[in-house]
Amino acid sequence: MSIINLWYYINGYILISIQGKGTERLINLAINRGIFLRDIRRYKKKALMKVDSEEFKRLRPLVRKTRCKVRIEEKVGLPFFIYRLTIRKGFIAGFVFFILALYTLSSFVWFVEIDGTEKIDPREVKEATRELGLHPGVFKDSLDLEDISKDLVLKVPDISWAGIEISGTRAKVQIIEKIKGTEYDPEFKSHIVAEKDGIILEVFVVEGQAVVSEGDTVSAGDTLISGLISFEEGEVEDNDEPLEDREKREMHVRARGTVEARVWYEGHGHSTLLIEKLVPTGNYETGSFLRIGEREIFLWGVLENPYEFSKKDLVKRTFDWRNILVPVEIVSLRFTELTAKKEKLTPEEALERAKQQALKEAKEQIPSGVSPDEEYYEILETKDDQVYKVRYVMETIEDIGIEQGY
Amino acid sequence: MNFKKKFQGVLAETFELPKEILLDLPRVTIIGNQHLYVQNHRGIVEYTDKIIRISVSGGELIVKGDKLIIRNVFSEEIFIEGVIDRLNYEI
Repeated sequence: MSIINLWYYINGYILISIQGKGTERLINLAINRGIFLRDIRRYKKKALMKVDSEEFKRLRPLVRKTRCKVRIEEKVGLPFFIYRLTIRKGFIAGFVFFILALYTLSSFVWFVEIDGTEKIDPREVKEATRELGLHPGVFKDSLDLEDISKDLVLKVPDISWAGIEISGTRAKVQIIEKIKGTEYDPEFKSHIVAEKDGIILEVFVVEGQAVVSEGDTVSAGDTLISGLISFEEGEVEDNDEPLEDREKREMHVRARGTVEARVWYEGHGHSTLLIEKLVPTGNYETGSFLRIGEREIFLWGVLENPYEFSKKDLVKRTFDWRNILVPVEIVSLRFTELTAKKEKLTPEEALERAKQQALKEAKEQIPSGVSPDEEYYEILETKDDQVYKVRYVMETIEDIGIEQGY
Repeated sequence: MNFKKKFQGVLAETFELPKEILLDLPRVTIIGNQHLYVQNHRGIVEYTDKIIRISVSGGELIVKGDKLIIRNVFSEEIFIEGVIDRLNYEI
């Protein structure tokens, strides 16, 4: 029914009231003429009904015939609404002005955003874009974004790529900075030196002259691939000029290549049979405070460590909601008293403890992303049979070469 | 005339045709005491919110009730809404 009502609203209808003895006759006549009457209801002596605005004109002669009184009570629907709007000229003018203002204002750039800057000051880029014509208040269609992004790369030396995207009134400048060292600089000469000690497994030279070969033991700082290429006598084919300078037989380049080497990482661990362990005594104290930004407000309990040995546990409760960070948190503290307790281990347990300690130490030295190729441990002999010592070795294969300019 | 009516009645029954078409009778559909459809009517004789008299072939159909509204009215069909108490035939 509601869809039909919507249809009636779009077409527009008139609510009329009919008064007089011939009301029923009028209705019957209207039906016979094909005039569509709806929602006929009695209100005191009047009969209210709805009729289409077009059909109302055809109802007029029937009214005269039946001598009824017909009054238009209300005009409902879209056509009448629009008609009423057209009468209010100021409103229409305001509306048109609003649409025009919205349209014109949205065809300007109002915000310039710089994205992707890390080392470069965004203000510097902003200044550069301003000089190239992209600044708040500029007409969108007058910009040639490709030209501006090209010129921006040339204007700011540390940018390797720039892209400009306009969404609405916001111009987003995406910048990719140059990574130092990757750019081609013909003046830059370098060696590749060892970063750490190891045994060379493989040398792969892209440019330069290998100084070490497979099987060599190198220590940190040794040159692996030299940027200085010197030609041996006779290697130079052009022997017509015997008075050639020594300099001519040398070439300075930027050494490039990888040097794979086997690297050792060592960890030591030791354990006695009798160890001291900290165990909780069962006593504890709790406290709590409220943190608002940098400020701390005491709530209750103790906040300072009351014991000689203790373990401190912190529980923070924040009031973040979704992605909104609320700078208020309640911090609960718990101090658990600990006491040293002597514990006797079996030799196996002591050995395992020492091994774990050594393993941990060795593992900490391995750079992330490298997994050990081989690992083994040895038990070191000690004079004291109460003490166990373990050396744990991890071997990795990694590229130990780093570039060093000269 | 009487013979014609009878003949039509026999015709409708033997061929299982709807009687309201052959005999020009009103078809009244009533839903609870709220809605009333009358098809094949001859016009409205009286309309107030308590009583509606509808002319049908051979007599009148009188609807009594409260807050009676004629929702739609066409030349063949009439749709009444409201609280219907009684439905009388006066032939």
